Amino acid sequence: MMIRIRASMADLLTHGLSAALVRGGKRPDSTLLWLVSGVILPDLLARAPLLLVHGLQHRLGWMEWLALDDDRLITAMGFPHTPAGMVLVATLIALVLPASLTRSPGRWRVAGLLGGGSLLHLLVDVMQRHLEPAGYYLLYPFSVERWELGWFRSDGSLLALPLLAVLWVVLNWSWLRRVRSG
Amino acid sequence: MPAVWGHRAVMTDRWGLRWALAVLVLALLILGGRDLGRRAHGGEVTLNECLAEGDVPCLERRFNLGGLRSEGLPVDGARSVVLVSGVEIELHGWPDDVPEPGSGVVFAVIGRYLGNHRFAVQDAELYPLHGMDMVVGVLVVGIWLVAVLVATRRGYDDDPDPSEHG
Repeated sequence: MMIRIRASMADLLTHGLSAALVRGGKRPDSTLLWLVSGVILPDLLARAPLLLVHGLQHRLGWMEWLALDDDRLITAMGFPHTPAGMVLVATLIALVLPASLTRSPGRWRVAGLLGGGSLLHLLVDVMQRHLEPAGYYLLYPFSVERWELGWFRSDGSLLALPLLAVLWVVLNWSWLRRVRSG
Repeated sequence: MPAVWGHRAVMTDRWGLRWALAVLVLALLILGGRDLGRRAHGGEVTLNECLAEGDVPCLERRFNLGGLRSEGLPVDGARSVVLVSGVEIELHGWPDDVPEPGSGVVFAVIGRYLGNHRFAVQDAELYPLHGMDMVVGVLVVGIWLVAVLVATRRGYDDDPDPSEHG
């Protein structure tokens, strides 16, 4: 039996739904789009590049010069998945976005929604369980100790998806029904 | 200085303050990442790093091998594992309370290195929904990109819900 290493990534639909649920029964608008963007960013920046490079290395034999067995590099790439990194990423994106995109909510608000969404992502992730030593660097740069609550497996959030989806529909039933009836 | 942000961003652009801040934040991100990588692994040695020093220093040491994926059936009770670095090791033993990983199942193991590229498994956890997790992730990113593109082209549709205003 041949076994290969794969990186792990949390379920993004649960993360997206958590952002929608935080907003209660409000219709989707730009605030939700920024919030969902914030929720997606940590995995998109910290996990997806590793998965992509690893896939290219093992499937196509490309980019083998990049030493993904170097745990220092992997941990360094996880910085956007820490609260401090999330605040910096949210600030950076809000700063470099063209004024046309940030005019309506304002740059501070965009940074706040992206950062808030990212922190919400971390709140959901912290509930996961991994084999030790595992967890999230919640207090970096003050500490490199890792924490997690261990309530469910890292892929177990998928099992809660139907419940979350039903909850969202119930909360948003009022405007969903009006849209449906035209 | 909130006035420099939001509606009066032109002023920030004029002085280049926004871009200066962006460069500063980017530098902090790079430095933070480097520092996290250095500090989080100060003293913690991975199996790959240990094997690079040779077989003997790794004997009986405890390691965590995460994100492994089985691609076949067990042969003679031992499982062959290829680490990202290309190093091949064998997993020996399997915890009684953990189901055997079927083909394609992602799992993680903790155990001791026995030498000669053999690894005694002490604890393991399976992630049978990992594949679906990935598919869902790609779908969500795709939908999100479409939503961002539509919002960018058409502008935001933030018409208030009529019911909220009576």
